[in-house]
Amino acid sequence: MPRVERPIYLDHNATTPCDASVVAAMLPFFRDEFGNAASRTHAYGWAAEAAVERAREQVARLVGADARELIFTSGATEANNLALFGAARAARADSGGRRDHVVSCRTEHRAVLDPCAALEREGFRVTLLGVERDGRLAPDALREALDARTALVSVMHANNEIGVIQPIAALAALAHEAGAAFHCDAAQSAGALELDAARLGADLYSLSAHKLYGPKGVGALVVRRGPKRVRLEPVLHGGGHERGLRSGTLPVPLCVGFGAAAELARASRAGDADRHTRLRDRLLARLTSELPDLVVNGHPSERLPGNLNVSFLGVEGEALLAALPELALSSGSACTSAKREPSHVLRALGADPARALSALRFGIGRGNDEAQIDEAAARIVEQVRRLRAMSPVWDDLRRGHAARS
Amino acid sequence: MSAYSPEVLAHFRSPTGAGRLSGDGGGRVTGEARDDEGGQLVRLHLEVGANERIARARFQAFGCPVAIAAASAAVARLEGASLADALALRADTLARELALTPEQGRLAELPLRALRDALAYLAPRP
Repeated sequence: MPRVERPIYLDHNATTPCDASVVAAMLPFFRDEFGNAASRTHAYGWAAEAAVERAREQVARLVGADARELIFTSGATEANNLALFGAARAARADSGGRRDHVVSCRTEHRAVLDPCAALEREGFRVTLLGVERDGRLAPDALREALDARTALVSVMHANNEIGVIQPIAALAALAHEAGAAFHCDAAQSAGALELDAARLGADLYSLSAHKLYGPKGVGALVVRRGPKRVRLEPVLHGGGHERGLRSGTLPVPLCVGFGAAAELARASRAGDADRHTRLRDRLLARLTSELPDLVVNGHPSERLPGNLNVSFLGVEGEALLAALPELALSSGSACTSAKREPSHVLRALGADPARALSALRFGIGRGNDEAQIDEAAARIVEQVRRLRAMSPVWDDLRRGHAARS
Repeated sequence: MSAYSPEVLAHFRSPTGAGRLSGDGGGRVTGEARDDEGGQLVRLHLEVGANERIARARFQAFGCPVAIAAASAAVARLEGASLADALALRADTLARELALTPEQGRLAELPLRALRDALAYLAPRP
């Protein structure tokens, strides 16, 4: 039978393949070691608990945290929900209602923006800060938004669409000066950047396994200890697992996989970052040498190593994706691509709808090599030229250039 | 699974009459239409003969594969058509031809709105 070529995978910001060694580490816990980590009365439970605690240490070590600071969740979305609802509700209750203000940012993931909207319906005041044209949140913008009523600030470490890295240490320091807690969604960055929880300074970090070559269905919330430990009200009730903060039987195989993936990421993160940056720069160089009028969305260098977000002016992103079945890519974020709306992140950078709709997101990862990058670039160049030739937006842009020169 | 029907993909991959009209000629009009969200744009270039027929038709489109396919399918039907037949072309007809989902169906209206926009520029008939 002829072998069907699979598309070149360039969507590592959406998800990463589970590493073979991670799969191997998980398998025994689907089979013989099937115990419930909460079963204290027999060897099955003890083995499961030991495996979970080892994984907890491995994941904590990845971000410079203590194992006791880690709460396993079903993923970063749940971790974000626990952080936002948990910290905001607890702060409001503990302050007798005086702290009822939550601050976040327009370029956050839906898993933060939607809980913010829900908190607003619960009576919280929510401020969503705009960003600079390069996607960075200016600390001064946060300073102006903070007041004595601010309970919680939530800003992501690295953006899922444009990869831009936020100045978390400076932002967290400002939040703390105002007496507010600071949450950081680190789903995209934990496997890609050096991340030291103490040095970065947030109180809460959301993590996800499937963004760092681990399994889907598991993540974690890091709740930093210390005199100013942030109190959380649990969102899920029913058994008091995870120090009472996240009830529910732990998915032992997934926790084990998360641990193995974290261990792997800790060892390979620096080397991966160098390689992915080189491949990303190679891709951009190939594209810009062949095509005029490309706009890189987001800061040119303060971004995730493998991430590139480019607007191919004059070409609609969905059309370009459909013209490139050999490549696995996304336009905007995977969550917005179901709807025909320009990405909220690109709009927050000040992009007009045509530029926002012209964007493709490239997420380079461990499986990619130079030959794939070169092939991807060649196919993209060919299809951008074809689609531009029939584009009225491109026609107008060209005529505008001609009129000006 | 692809979000696009084989009919859409066929037009998208080899569209009919993409670009502008070449050369010079009389009776040329251009019209355009945008979708509600303001992102997608279809432009039609028509050459209308003295016999009230569309002698030649070309399209330009900025949009998803459905918008491009709808413009292509419209041009294929419009070239050679009388103005009366052109104005009688309905979005449902294009949507059926392209096997569009109900959600995609509204994009079939873009080339037809562009057509009416273009024909509005014709000198009023006595």
